[in-house]
Amino acid sequence: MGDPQEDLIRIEGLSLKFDEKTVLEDINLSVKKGDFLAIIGPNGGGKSTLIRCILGFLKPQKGKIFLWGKDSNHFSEWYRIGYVPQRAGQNLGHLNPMTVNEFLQLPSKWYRISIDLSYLDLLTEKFGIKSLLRKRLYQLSFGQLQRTFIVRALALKPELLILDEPSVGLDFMLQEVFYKSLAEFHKKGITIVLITHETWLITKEVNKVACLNQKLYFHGEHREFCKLAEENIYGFPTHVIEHHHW
Amino acid sequence: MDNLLETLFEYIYLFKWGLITGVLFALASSFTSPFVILKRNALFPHALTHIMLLSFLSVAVFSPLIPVSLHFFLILFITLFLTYTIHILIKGSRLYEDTATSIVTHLSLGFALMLASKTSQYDATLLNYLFGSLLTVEKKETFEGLLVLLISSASYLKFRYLWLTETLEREVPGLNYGKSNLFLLLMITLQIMIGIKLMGVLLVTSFFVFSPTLALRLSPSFAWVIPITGALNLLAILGGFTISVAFDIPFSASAIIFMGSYIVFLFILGRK
Repeated sequence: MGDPQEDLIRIEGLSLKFDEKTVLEDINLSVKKGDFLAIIGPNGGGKSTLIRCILGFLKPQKGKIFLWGKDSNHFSEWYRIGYVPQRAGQNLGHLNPMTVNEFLQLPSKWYRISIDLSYLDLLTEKFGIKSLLRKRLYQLSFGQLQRTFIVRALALKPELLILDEPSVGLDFMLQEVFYKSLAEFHKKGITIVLITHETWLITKEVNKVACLNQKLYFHGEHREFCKLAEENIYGFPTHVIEHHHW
Repeated sequence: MDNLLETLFEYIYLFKWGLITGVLFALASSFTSPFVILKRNALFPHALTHIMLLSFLSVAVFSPLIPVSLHFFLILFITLFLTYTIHILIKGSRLYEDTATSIVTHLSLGFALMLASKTSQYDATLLNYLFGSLLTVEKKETFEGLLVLLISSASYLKFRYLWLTETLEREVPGLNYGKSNLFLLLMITLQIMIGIKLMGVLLVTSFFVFSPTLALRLSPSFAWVIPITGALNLLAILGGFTISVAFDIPFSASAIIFMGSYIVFLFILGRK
């Protein structure tokens, strides 16, 4: 066991501009082992952009990102992170014959790590996609595809799970199952970063909240956030309804 | 029937290097062509052939000054460099990929025509480059074809998951598509260089469209795509050759006509 307070992600003074438009400004944030962090904020607030910086897809003009204490530019152990992108599978064409089973095995091929097939079997059962393994990806509904991406993100037993608006496309019942499962994985020790702009999704399982709108307006404990929510943390008045799924 | 078989065997002997090279090209291109279709970039190899025509003619014009052993590498270098200008246009002028590709293609063809008209290359040699000929393929090119097949299969084994993933997701943590894309481009360029002698600049890329498209529709999973593409490409070489001998028409045209039958299957599968 490592240090329970170990920083899995540490962001120091991160700023990013697209052309002349500031997207992120002087962001300082850390995600510690065992955190269940919800990043919230309005559309265009920079939530997904921040994640894309953390995962190395975008290079910020200023600041540093450390993953497990290593500069992200030199980080190589990407198998430790499970990632579900926003609008997963939107590039999928109907000519692609890749099956769900082949898709789920991809991370083990990228990172050259063997996959625990019995664990994968459990995951497919838990998320209700076991019967879909031989189907082509494009034959899946959006909700089924979303669950397939989630299973793939969990397939290599990651220490950190990053989800960018994962419940979009899931019906209410599946959202319940999904958030229950997420809480279970968190209890088992997986650190979770969840991006959403739906504040009602911040459940009792979330222990940290970051509120982002170009700048980081709030970063702290969930309870503290609920107290402050009635005030002006976005830069405009908001009203948070705390919602418990279970 | 006996007469046709007799003629066919006579021609097989006559065109043996062309046919063997065709088989090698058919197999080599099956390692990359499905990815071109999945990337929705089916016209890219066609653009590459136009760029390559300029490379061929540039080297041909200066051939008295350049040792023959360097021709192949020079053509490869000029083609890759000109292809890179597409990337420069996309980044520098903020153009869409297909717009930049189209601009470079037309410029290449324009310069190629200018070079051809001002030199002695504006003759039967150019016609062979444009439409191909089995007769012009020599033993040396068959060995080059074998080499390209081996390199293509090795690159496929190394990069196949990256090539495949990029067709689904542009961004995956820890994956950098730069190197894998460069290899995909290099493989397609080498394969086209082999195929051009058989099929010509204008028709060689048909092998990058018909067979992989049908293979993608027929395959129950991705694992089957490459073997089915290879089989359909081989069938096109043999079918095209048979039609060419039977009806006394150019090989490249016959191969295209044969592959045209794949469209019928695509139509039937599309209605399911």
